[in-house]
Amino acid sequence: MSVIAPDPVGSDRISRWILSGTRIVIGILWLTNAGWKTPPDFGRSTGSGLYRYTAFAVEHEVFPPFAFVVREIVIPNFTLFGWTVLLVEAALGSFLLLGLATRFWALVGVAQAVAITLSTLNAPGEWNWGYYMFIAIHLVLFATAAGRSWGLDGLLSPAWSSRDTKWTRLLLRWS
Amino acid sequence: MTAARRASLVLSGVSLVLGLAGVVVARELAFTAARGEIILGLGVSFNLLGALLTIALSILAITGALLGNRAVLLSAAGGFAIAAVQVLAQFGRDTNWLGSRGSNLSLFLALAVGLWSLAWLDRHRTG
Repeated sequence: MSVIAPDPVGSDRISRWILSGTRIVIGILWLTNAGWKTPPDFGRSTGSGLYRYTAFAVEHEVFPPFAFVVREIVIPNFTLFGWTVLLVEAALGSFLLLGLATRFWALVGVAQAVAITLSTLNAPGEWNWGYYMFIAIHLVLFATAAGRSWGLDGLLSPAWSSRDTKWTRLLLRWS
Repeated sequence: MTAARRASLVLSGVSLVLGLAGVVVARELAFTAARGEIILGLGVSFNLLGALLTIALSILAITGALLGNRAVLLSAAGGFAIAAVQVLAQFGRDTNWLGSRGSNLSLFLALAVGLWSLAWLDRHRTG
């Protein structure tokens, strides 16, 4: 008797809607988060905003080497760090919403989610599982190449495949 | 209509809706108020100038998509790219022409990159 294997993830219409919906929700999450990273000092002068949450990494240490990096490198160069976070989170929102280079940006999202987790996991009132889910959702977006479901990756990949350049090869890998 | 043009219509339609919502929420603000009003907790904020500019660029993008005119579509993408640069230059400062925040940077970047990519795809298919 032969066994019929189930369809791969995202091959039926409902799965594609769910994957694209998840990707868009996470994109909106980053887009919303970029809103409160406010230059020029990112909350340093008032001890609020991004500065407050970054300082949690030192005040409520999760992983000593990470706390060391934050204390010795990040906080002394906080303006540069603030701009980097703003740009990365704004780009995460943009590219995950579009579903463009989704697997690459999903990995960037994992890295950013890990950094946020290591900063705030032990802060008072935080729900640990929320951070673990945050990381896991980005891994799912990566594993399922979620931009190929109703995203620009799905629309653009045939054109990338037909043009064999360094950039199109890179974009195919990232999608 | 090609898939690229349909996707361009979706993108520009979403931005048109956000621009119109911006006019509603910012109707009592000064035309170029530095702190715009946030739309539905999404983080994107506008004063009236920011909302009207978003509407104008969205209409330009819709026109480009409907006519299949890549130059018009690219003009809209360029306009959104300039709006993204405005956020970088003025967000958090006393002068902020569009009343924008970091979320607007994300939105404008998505619209600029998305419309540009779709214009490229249309050219690739027809060219």
